[in-house]
Amino acid sequence: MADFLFGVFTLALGMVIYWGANRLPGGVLTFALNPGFFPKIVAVGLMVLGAILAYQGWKNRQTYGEGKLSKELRLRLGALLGLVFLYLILWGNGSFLLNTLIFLFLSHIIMKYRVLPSLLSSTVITVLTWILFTQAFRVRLF
Amino acid sequence: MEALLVAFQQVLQPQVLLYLILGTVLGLAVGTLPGLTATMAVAILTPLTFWLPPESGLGVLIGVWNASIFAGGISAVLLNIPGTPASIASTFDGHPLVKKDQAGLALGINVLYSAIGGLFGILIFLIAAFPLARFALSFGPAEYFALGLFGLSMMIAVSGTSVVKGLIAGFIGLALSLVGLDPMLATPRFNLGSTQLITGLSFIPLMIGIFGLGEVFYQMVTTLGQPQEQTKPQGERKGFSSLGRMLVNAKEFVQTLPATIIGSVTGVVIGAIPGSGADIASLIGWEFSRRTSKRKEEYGKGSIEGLAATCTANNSCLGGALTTMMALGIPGDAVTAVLIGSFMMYGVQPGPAMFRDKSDFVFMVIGLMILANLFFLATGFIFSRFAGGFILLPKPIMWSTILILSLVGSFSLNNRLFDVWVAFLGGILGFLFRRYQFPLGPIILALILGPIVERNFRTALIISHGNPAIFLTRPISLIFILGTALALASPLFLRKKRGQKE
Repeated sequence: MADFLFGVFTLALGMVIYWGANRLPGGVLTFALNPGFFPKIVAVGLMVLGAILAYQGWKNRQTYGEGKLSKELRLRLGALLGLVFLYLILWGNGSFLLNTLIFLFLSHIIMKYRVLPSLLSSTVITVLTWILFTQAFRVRLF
Repeated sequence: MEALLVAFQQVLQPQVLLYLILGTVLGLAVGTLPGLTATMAVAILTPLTFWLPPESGLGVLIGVWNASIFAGGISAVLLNIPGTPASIASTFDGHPLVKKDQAGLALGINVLYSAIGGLFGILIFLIAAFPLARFALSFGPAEYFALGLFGLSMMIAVSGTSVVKGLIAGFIGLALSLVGLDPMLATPRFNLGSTQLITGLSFIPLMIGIFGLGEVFYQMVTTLGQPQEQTKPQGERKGFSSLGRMLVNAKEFVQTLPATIIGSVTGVVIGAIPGSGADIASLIGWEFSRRTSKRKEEYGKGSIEGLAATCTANNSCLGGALTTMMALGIPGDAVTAVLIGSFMMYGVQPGPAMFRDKSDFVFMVIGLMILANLFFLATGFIFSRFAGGFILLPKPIMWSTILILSLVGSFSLNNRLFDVWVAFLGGILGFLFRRYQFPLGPIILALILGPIVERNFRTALIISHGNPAIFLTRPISLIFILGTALALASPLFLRKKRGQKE
């Protein structure tokens, strides 16, 4: 079923690109100078391939993927993605060292690592990253 | 020859050597740890080298690239798990040698023959790249379009499970390359009204996301979903001094000579074909060597010839891939696609014009490649003895280090948070593609080739007043178009043939 959904998504993406390409200003002299010319070719390619994949996925009702993730793994992955999202939202606020330390520590917990080694390794990685970027590469973090 | 000597003077400066050694050490670590790939390492390290002079920065990247391909063989030998995809074939004979209590010899062959293969690849690059670049200077837009298309089709043809999925990955890459300014009229396209996207999607953060963050997300769910088992390498169980002798004797060297030649030549040829990488080179090198060997029956059971063939093939492949990448501007595989981004970061656009205008840069890369091979040859024997303990580094530490280096590295390129978001979205895309078995190579290749293909396609059509016959009436273009058709049709023929056999 995943293939079917990917196929539908690709088909829709192709349609959006085609629609966007149609709205671009027309070309001068020849059609090949039109900025929408190549995007339309890409869009048609995506629509055709998306339709083929959706058909194959619907017909076989099977995926070439690796089966469904367990509830626990879905939760862990969701938590990690949410954590990265939160880290980026908070980028520039507070202190880089503190934000990163908490981010890495929580990442380790999500990754099923023991608490004490997590704390220790998070501290070391945070400090080394800070030294590398701010002292060696002169990047202004926050 | 004089230019090569000047280049050597440039790369033999203490600062450059230091960064090359650093890159080699990092590459040894990356290659040894299963799950980390050369592509990921080069992508993550590219922004870190942005602050260095080109010769030092490229020293790190070239050191990582060469050493990680070699070091992938260490875990392949000791654990039967390839450190990088390039070492898949090294498990066939490397691990059986360990079972025969010849771990030292297997590791020694990996070091010695990887260096032989690597140096052979560079020699071929030195011989072939300049004439190829001179020939490519005569290419017009039609030829460049056809060549770009051929490069794209080759990666799709070798992209595994499904040609449709390979094509979709390629077309998504092309779609991403549309964002920004139209390459001919500079009309803003698909930038969603954002000024951040006016120059297009940042290539390096996107690569970091796809190959770095995506790999971490994927590995986390696959590793945590499996029962935990402690696999300890032989050296760890018995003590590192018990690995046995590492050097081949004269008789063994003579015995492995045909396999070495076959592996080296196969690797360079496969590497030069756009889209095929070191993993394919090592598998084909091993198979060719087996077919021509007098001791076929030993292959797969701990044959030193089989291991020599794979080690030379996966390292000589680098020289072949570099030839295509630098002389034609077409990446040979995913790593060279990432390296094109790194070159562009230093203001150098790979392609035939580079050999005419910046030949000193080309010789500098050659110098760095030679030194990288000599460095891992010098340090590889010692490192291999101690790598056993290194393999056991806890995965969460490895993952979180990649995670933070990817995020901060993406930011550090332009001091722009937007790039970090691009990397994050690239990571999600990379995860989904891995999970549902879409090949990743075509996306990166299409991102690089997209603008080249579009610009030359449109220019050729303008020259021909809109007549597409221009692509079929010019001999070189026709050859590449036929090659493209063949590459796309070959998986279908192979599947049909396989079906008839069954």
